[in-house]
Amino acid sequence: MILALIIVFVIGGTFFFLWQDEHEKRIEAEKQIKDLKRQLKRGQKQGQKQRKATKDSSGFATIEKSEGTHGYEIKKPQPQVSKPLLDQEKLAELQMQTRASQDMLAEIFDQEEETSTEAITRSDDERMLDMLRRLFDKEVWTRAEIAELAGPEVMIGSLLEQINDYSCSKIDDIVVEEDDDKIYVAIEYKEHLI
Amino acid sequence: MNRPIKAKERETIIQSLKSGVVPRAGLQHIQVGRSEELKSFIKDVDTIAEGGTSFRFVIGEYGSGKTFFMSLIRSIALEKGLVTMHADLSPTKRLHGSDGQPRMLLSEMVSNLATRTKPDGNALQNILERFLSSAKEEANSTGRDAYDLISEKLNELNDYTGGYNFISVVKKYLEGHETGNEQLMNDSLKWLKAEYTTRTDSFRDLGIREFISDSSFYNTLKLYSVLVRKAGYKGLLVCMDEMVNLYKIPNSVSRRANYEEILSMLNNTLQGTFSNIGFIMSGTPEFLTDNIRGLYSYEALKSRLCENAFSKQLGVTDYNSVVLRLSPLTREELYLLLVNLRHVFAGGDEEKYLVPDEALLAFLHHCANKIGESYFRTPRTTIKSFLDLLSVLEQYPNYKWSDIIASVDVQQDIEPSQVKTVLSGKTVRPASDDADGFTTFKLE
Repeated sequence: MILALIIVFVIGGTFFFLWQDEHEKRIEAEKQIKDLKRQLKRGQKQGQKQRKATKDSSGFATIEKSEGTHGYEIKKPQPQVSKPLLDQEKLAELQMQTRASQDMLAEIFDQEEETSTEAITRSDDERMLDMLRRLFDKEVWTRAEIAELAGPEVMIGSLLEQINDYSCSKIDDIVVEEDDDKIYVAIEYKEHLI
Repeated sequence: MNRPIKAKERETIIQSLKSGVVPRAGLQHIQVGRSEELKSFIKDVDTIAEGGTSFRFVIGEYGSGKTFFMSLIRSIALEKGLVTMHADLSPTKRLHGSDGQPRMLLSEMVSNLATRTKPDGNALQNILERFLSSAKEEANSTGRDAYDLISEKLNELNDYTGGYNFISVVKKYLEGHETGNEQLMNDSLKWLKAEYTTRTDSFRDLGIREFISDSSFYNTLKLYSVLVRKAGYKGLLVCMDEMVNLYKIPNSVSRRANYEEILSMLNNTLQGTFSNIGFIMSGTPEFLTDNIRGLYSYEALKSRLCENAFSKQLGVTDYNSVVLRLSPLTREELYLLLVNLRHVFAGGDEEKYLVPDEALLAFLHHCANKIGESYFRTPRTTIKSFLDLLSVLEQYPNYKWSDIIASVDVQQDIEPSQVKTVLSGKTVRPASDDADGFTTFKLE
């Protein structure tokens, strides 16, 4: 009786282990099949894309008899150029980035606040504004004319830098432009600056 | 997208891009993507303005937008109150050499000194006069001697080689102004622009035996960074483009000497030896990574410039590392660039768009057929052709875009490396015209 039980137990155990081993193998095999299916699907998708991109062009040379000639022409296939398909996902992401960039830049370039490079003293400020008022009298000046107008003490380069710095902080553009000896004044900014 | 665009900015953008150069204003209207890169560089500019330092490399293939990106950062720096100087390296302009190359590079950089009010360069005189005017004003109000005050204000320059002579020349300029001696003022500017080539000339004109020579390239940059700060600006940004010219130096000793100069700048900048200065250098990938001739051939630089190991492992980009890599333009980026250009052309008014969205796609398709893949990898000519198209549509409103798009001529952009091939008469094949090797022939 005990022997029979032992035999049944051994046989049962063997079957159990065999079954379990088989079961694991089956799970592994199913996993592999799933992977293969996934790869196949991906490949199919890529293939579809590729076919779409290379549609209508077999890539083979063709032999044609040209009109009005006594011969045949072997035409080279046209370069296979894919239609510029845009990846919509990529495009959306780029649009987001572009907006972020433009916002950042707008904050820097469109700001109204004063970014004057140095605190100009009150007397400097008054002298500069007075000079600007006089410069609006005409559009083109020479350096010598401005030097005469400003007086021998004043350095023209510094004065023009101050005027343009003031103008940039007010209207985000320069009002006097130097071109060698000539100095051009943007008269249209007069009402915005004075 | 709905930001107004000034007429002047519109003109600058259109004219520059039509001529194939980067516009000097309004870059913010055409910038596409790269928000993280931009954020990182804006942070750098802020750091310089706050007294810090920065050193960056912008690395990318031909046509990836390095020059555009550097110009954009320069504009940002100017807007934030910094002074910028820039130059393109060439066989005759290098960081190190004994045949006048460093002096010529420096001379060009000083000529290109730019401020917010003089973004096109030539701002040296204004910067100098700004400093001197404020010193004179202060001297007048305190009853002190202006020359003593200038010496005191620029005393920091004495810490650097050549600082004493630099201060003397600055004082000479003031002397020229006070005595009405224009020649002395011009000679002083000439000295500061590194245009003297002999001691004799320098001594004859200014009474100063030393001049800015090949060996004082980097030192002079330090002196300028102090001068602009003393003149009331927030710092100095030094931009150098076409660094690949160093990679092309055939002599390995000379090449190494140039790389040593870069190492010295990098070390000094990142160690915080001085303040309010930043460097941006741009070049192609081989300039950086070539183990035989590139920066990586110099071990000390390689270890400092190699990629962030963590970001590499994680497959992400570290936008704050010393080296920023710009990827080549993609189709999508070019499409958005066309969208932006259409917007600029319409002066920022959507109602005035000359072409609909489908025209942009049709135009890209047309370019792809004409010149192959290079239409978006090297977009210079594509942009120019698109602007030409808009220009025609603007002038002749009776034409429909669909009727004329096929007739727009698009030329392939030629990389500098291909120029020799073109000149030698060999053809440069478009990317798509690849290796099938078939040729058209007739059997008569």
